[in-house]
Amino acid sequence: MHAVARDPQLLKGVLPMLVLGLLGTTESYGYELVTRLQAAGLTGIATGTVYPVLSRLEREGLLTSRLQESPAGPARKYYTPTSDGQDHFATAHTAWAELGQVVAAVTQERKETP
Amino acid sequence: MSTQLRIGDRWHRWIYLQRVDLWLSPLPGKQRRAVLKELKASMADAAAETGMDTAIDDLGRPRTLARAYVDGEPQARPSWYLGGIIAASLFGLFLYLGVAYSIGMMDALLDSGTPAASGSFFGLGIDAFYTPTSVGFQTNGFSWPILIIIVLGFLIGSRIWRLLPSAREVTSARD
Repeated sequence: MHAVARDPQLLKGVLPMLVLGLLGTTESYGYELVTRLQAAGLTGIATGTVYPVLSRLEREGLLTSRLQESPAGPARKYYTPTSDGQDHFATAHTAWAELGQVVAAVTQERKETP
Repeated sequence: MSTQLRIGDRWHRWIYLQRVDLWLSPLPGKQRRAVLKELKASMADAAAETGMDTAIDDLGRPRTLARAYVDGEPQARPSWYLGGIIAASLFGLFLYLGVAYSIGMMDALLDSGTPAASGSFFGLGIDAFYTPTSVGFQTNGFSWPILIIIVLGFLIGSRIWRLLPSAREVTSARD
Protein backbone atom coordinates (compact mmCIF):
# COMPACT_ATOMS: atom_id res chain seq x y z
CA MET A 1 0.00 0.00 0.00
CA HIS A 2 1.48 3.33 -1.00
CA ALA A 3 1.10 6.42 1.12
CA VAL A 4 -1.50 8.96 -0.01
CA ALA A 5 -0.39 12.58 -0.15
CA ARG A 6 -1.95 14.39 2.79
CA ASP A 7 -4.01 17.50 2.15
CA PRO A 8 -2.32 20.39 4.01
CA GLN A 9 -5.66 22.07 4.68
CA LEU A 10 -7.04 18.87 6.18
CA LEU A 11 -3.97 18.60 8.39
CA LYS A 12 -4.27 22.24 9.40
CA GLY A 13 -7.82 21.65 10.51
CA VAL A 14 -7.16 18.52 12.52
CA LEU A 15 -3.74 19.34 13.97
CA PRO A 16 -4.94 21.36 16.98
CA MET A 17 -7.17 18.45 18.01
CA LEU A 18 -4.30 15.98 17.67
CA VAL A 19 -2.01 18.25 19.68
CA LEU A 20 -4.57 18.62 22.46
CA GLY A 21 -5.23 14.89 22.39
CA LEU A 22 -1.60 13.88 22.72
CA LEU A 23 -0.82 16.49 25.35
CA GLY A 24 -3.87 15.31 27.26
CA THR A 25 -2.22 11.94 27.80
CA THR A 26 1.11 13.35 28.92
CA GLU A 27 2.78 16.75 28.79
CA SER A 28 5.48 17.37 26.19
CA TYR A 29 7.86 20.06 24.98
CA GLY A 30 7.74 21.19 21.36
CA TYR A 31 10.20 18.86 19.70
CA GLU A 32 9.06 15.87 21.74
CA LEU A 33 5.47 16.52 20.66
CA VAL A 34 6.56 16.53 17.02
CA THR A 35 8.20 13.13 17.45
CA ARG A 36 5.04 11.84 19.15
CA LEU A 37 2.91 13.07 16.24
CA GLN A 38 5.31 11.36 13.84
CA ALA A 39 5.15 8.14 15.84
CA ALA A 40 1.35 8.36 15.78
CA GLY A 41 1.40 8.33 11.98
CA LEU A 42 2.01 11.89 10.84
CA THR A 43 5.42 10.87 9.59
CA GLY A 44 5.95 13.92 7.43
CA ILE A 45 4.86 16.53 9.96
CA ALA A 46 7.42 19.35 10.23
CA THR A 47 8.45 21.15 13.38
CA GLY A 48 7.66 24.45 11.67
CA THR A 49 4.03 23.33 11.34
CA VAL A 50 3.57 22.33 14.96
CA TYR A 51 5.29 25.10 16.93
CA PRO A 52 2.99 27.95 15.79
CA VAL A 53 -0.02 25.78 16.67
CA LEU A 54 1.31 25.38 20.22
CA SER A 55 1.78 29.12 20.49
CA ARG A 56 -1.75 29.82 19.28
CA LEU A 57 -3.39 27.24 21.53
CA GLU A 58 -1.57 28.66 24.53
CA ARG A 59 -2.61 32.20 23.64
CA GLU A 60 -6.22 31.03 23.33
CA GLY A 61 -6.05 29.54 26.80
CA LEU A 62 -6.33 25.93 25.65
CA LEU A 63 -2.80 25.05 26.74
CA THR A 64 -0.74 25.98 29.73
CA SER A 65 3.01 25.62 30.00
CA ARG A 66 5.90 25.41 32.41
CA LEU A 67 9.64 25.80 31.87
CA GLN A 68 12.08 23.09 32.82
CA GLU A 69 15.85 23.07 32.50
CA SER A 70 17.17 21.04 29.59
CA PRO A 71 20.53 19.28 29.21
CA ALA A 72 20.37 20.05 25.48
CA GLY A 73 20.45 23.81 25.96
CA PRO A 74 17.87 26.47 26.85
CA ALA A 75 14.95 25.58 29.13
CA ARG A 76 12.20 23.52 27.54
CA LYS A 77 8.58 24.61 27.59
CA TYR A 78 6.29 21.74 28.60
CA TYR A 79 2.65 22.04 27.50
CA THR A 80 -0.50 20.65 29.10
CA PRO A 81 -4.15 21.22 28.10
CA THR A 82 -6.19 23.45 30.37
CA SER A 83 -9.73 22.44 31.30
CA ASP A 84 -10.90 24.55 28.34
CA GLY A 85 -8.41 22.66 26.20
CA GLN A 86 -9.80 19.34 27.40
CA ASP A 87 -13.33 20.50 26.57
CA HIS A 88 -12.18 21.74 23.19
CA PHE A 89 -10.63 18.37 22.43
CA ALA A 90 -13.80 16.53 23.42
CA THR A 91 -15.93 18.78 21.22
CA ALA A 92 -13.52 18.57 18.29
CA HIS A 93 -13.28 14.81 18.61
CA THR A 94 -17.06 14.44 18.60
CA ALA A 95 -17.33 16.64 15.51
CA TRP A 96 -14.55 14.68 13.82
CA ALA A 97 -16.20 11.35 14.65
CA GLU A 98 -19.52 12.54 13.24
CA LEU A 99 -17.78 13.73 10.10
CA GLY A 100 -16.03 10.36 9.87
CA GLN A 101 -19.40 8.62 10.00
CA VAL A 102 -20.66 10.73 7.12
CA VAL A 103 -17.55 9.94 5.10
CA ALA A 104 -17.90 6.23 5.89
CA ALA A 105 -21.60 6.22 4.92
CA VAL A 106 -20.95 7.97 1.62
CA THR A 107 -18.00 5.73 0.87
CA GLN A 108 -20.07 2.63 1.60
CA GLU A 109 -22.86 3.86 -0.63
CA ARG A 110 -20.35 4.51 -3.39
CA LYS A 111 -18.95 0.98 -3.05
CA GLU A 112 -22.40 -0.57 -3.27
CA THR A 113 -23.22 1.35 -6.44
CA PRO A 114 -22.17 -0.68 -9.47
CA MET B 1 20.61 13.44 26.33
CA SER B 2 23.30 15.96 27.16
CA THR B 3 24.70 17.72 24.14
CA GLN B 4 26.73 20.78 23.48
CA LEU B 5 26.14 22.61 20.23
CA ARG B 6 29.14 23.29 18.09
CA ILE B 7 30.06 26.88 17.37
CA GLY B 8 29.05 26.43 13.73
CA ASP B 9 25.65 25.11 14.76
CA ARG B 10 25.15 28.02 17.17
CA TRP B 11 26.06 30.40 14.39
CA HIS B 12 23.61 28.82 11.95
CA ARG B 13 20.88 28.89 14.61
CA TRP B 14 21.61 32.53 15.41
CA ILE B 15 21.44 33.53 11.73
CA TYR B 16 18.17 31.63 11.27
CA LEU B 17 16.59 33.17 14.37
CA GLN B 18 17.67 36.65 13.29
CA ARG B 19 15.85 36.12 10.01
CA VAL B 20 12.76 34.85 11.82
CA ASP B 21 12.93 37.82 14.18
CA LEU B 22 12.92 40.19 11.22
CA TRP B 23 9.52 38.88 10.12
CA LEU B 24 8.14 38.55 13.65
CA SER B 25 8.25 42.29 14.16
CA PRO B 26 4.42 42.67 13.98
CA LEU B 27 4.23 40.75 17.27
CA PRO B 28 4.55 42.56 20.60
CA GLY B 29 8.13 42.50 21.87
CA LYS B 30 7.45 40.21 24.83
CA GLN B 31 5.67 37.67 22.66
CA ARG B 32 8.36 37.85 19.99
CA ARG B 33 11.08 37.16 22.53
CA ALA B 34 9.09 34.22 23.92
CA VAL B 35 8.71 32.71 20.45
CA LEU B 36 12.42 33.07 19.71
CA LYS B 37 13.38 31.64 23.08
CA GLU B 38 11.23 28.58 22.53
CA LEU B 39 12.47 28.14 18.97
CA LYS B 40 16.04 28.31 20.26
CA ALA B 41 15.35 25.54 22.76
CA SER B 42 13.47 23.45 20.21
CA MET B 43 16.28 23.79 17.67
CA ALA B 44 18.75 22.53 20.28
CA ASP B 45 16.50 19.51 20.93
CA ALA B 46 16.09 18.79 17.23
CA ALA B 47 19.79 19.28 16.50
CA ALA B 48 20.66 16.73 19.16
CA GLU B 49 18.61 14.18 17.21
CA THR B 50 19.04 15.14 13.58
CA GLY B 51 21.77 17.78 13.36
CA MET B 52 21.32 21.51 13.05
CA ASP B 53 21.05 21.57 9.26
CA THR B 54 18.08 19.18 9.31
CA ALA B 55 16.57 21.00 12.28
CA ILE B 56 16.65 24.25 10.32
CA ASP B 57 15.34 22.64 7.13
CA ASP B 58 12.45 21.15 9.11
CA LEU B 59 11.42 24.58 10.39
CA GLY B 60 11.10 25.86 6.84
CA ARG B 61 11.78 29.31 5.49
CA PRO B 62 12.10 31.97 8.22
CA ARG B 63 9.49 34.18 6.63
CA THR B 64 6.98 31.32 6.32
CA LEU B 65 7.52 30.24 9.91
CA ALA B 66 7.20 33.79 11.21
CA ARG B 67 4.04 34.30 9.17
CA ALA B 68 2.49 31.24 10.83
CA TYR B 69 3.01 32.94 14.19
CA VAL B 70 1.91 36.39 13.02
CA ASP B 71 -1.19 35.11 11.19
CA GLY B 72 -2.41 33.61 14.44
CA GLU B 73 -2.08 36.94 16.21
CA PRO B 74 -5.40 38.80 16.45
CA GLN B 75 -3.74 42.15 16.99
CA ALA B 76 -0.72 42.16 14.74
CA ARG B 77 1.05 45.51 14.99
CA PRO B 78 2.71 47.49 12.23
CA SER B 79 6.20 46.28 11.48
CA TRP B 80 8.24 49.43 12.19
CA TYR B 81 11.47 47.49 11.82
CA LEU B 82 10.71 46.37 8.27
CA GLY B 83 9.46 49.85 7.42
CA GLY B 84 12.73 51.31 8.71
CA ILE B 85 14.79 48.91 6.62
CA ILE B 86 12.83 49.79 3.48
CA ALA B 87 13.08 53.53 4.18
CA ALA B 88 16.83 53.25 4.81
CA SER B 89 17.25 51.23 1.61
CA LEU B 90 15.37 53.85 -0.40
CA PHE B 91 17.46 56.62 1.17
CA GLY B 92 20.63 54.71 0.26
CA LEU B 93 19.37 54.22 -3.29
CA PHE B 94 18.61 57.93 -3.74
CA LEU B 95 21.97 58.85 -2.20
CA TYR B 96 23.76 56.54 -4.64
CA LEU B 97 21.81 57.85 -7.63
CA GLY B 98 22.26 61.46 -6.53
CA VAL B 99 26.03 61.07 -6.18
CA ALA B 100 26.17 59.25 -9.54
CA TYR B 101 24.20 62.10 -11.13
CA SER B 102 26.54 64.69 -9.62
CA ILE B 103 29.64 62.82 -10.74
CA GLY B 104 28.15 62.69 -14.22
CA MET B 105 27.73 66.47 -14.14
CA MET B 106 31.32 66.98 -13.01
CA ASP B 107 32.53 64.65 -15.73
CA ALA B 108 30.65 66.68 -18.31
CA LEU B 109 32.24 69.88 -16.97
CA LEU B 110 35.70 68.39 -17.25
CA ASP B 111 35.04 67.27 -20.82
CA SER B 112 33.55 70.56 -21.94
CA GLY B 113 35.75 72.92 -19.93
CA THR B 114 32.68 74.75 -18.68
CA PRO B 115 33.35 76.23 -15.21
CA ALA B 116 29.92 75.56 -13.68
CA ALA B 117 26.58 73.95 -14.31
CA SER B 118 23.33 73.50 -12.42
CA GLY B 119 20.96 70.59 -12.45
CA SER B 120 18.09 69.08 -10.54
CA PHE B 121 17.73 65.60 -9.11
CA PHE B 122 14.15 64.87 -8.02
CA GLY B 123 13.79 68.54 -7.14
CA LEU B 124 17.11 68.72 -5.31
CA GLY B 125 19.32 71.43 -6.82
CA ILE B 126 22.86 70.37 -7.69
CA ASP B 127 25.55 72.88 -8.63
CA ALA B 128 28.70 71.39 -10.10
CA PHE B 129 31.80 73.53 -10.52
CA TYR B 130 35.20 73.19 -12.05
CA THR B 131 38.29 75.33 -11.54
CA PRO B 132 41.89 74.67 -12.54
CA THR B 133 42.57 73.50 -8.95
CA SER B 134 39.35 71.80 -7.91
CA VAL B 135 36.20 70.11 -9.02
CA GLY B 136 33.14 69.42 -6.94
CA PHE B 137 29.44 69.88 -6.38
CA GLN B 138 27.06 71.19 -3.78
CA THR B 139 23.38 70.65 -3.20
CA ASN B 140 20.73 73.19 -2.39
CA GLY B 141 17.05 73.17 -1.69
CA PHE B 142 14.97 70.25 -0.57
CA SER B 143 13.52 67.28 -2.45
CA TRP B 144 9.92 66.71 -1.51
CA PRO B 145 9.52 63.84 -4.01
CA ILE B 146 12.37 61.91 -2.38
CA LEU B 147 10.98 62.55 1.09
CA ILE B 148 7.50 61.43 0.03
CA ILE B 149 8.80 58.24 -1.61
CA ILE B 150 10.85 57.37 1.48
CA VAL B 151 7.92 58.05 3.82
CA LEU B 152 5.60 56.00 1.60
CA GLY B 153 8.15 53.17 1.59
CA PHE B 154 8.26 53.31 5.37
CA LEU B 155 4.49 53.30 5.75
CA ILE B 156 3.88 50.51 3.24
CA GLY B 157 6.78 48.43 4.58
CA SER B 158 5.44 48.88 8.10
CA ARG B 159 1.93 47.81 7.04
CA ILE B 160 0.60 50.94 8.66
CA TRP B 161 -2.98 49.89 7.90
CA ARG B 162 -2.72 47.40 10.76
CA LEU B 163 -3.38 50.35 13.05
CA LEU B 164 -6.88 50.62 11.60
CA PRO B 165 -9.57 48.89 13.68
CA SER B 166 -11.10 47.30 10.56
CA ALA B 167 -7.74 45.71 9.63
CA ARG B 168 -7.52 44.20 13.10
CA GLU B 169 -10.96 42.73 12.73
CA VAL B 170 -9.96 41.15 9.42
CA THR B 171 -6.81 39.69 10.98
CA SER B 172 -8.82 38.35 13.87
CA ALA B 173 -11.45 36.85 11.58
CA ARG B 174 -8.77 35.17 9.48
CA ASP B 175 -7.47 33.55 12.65
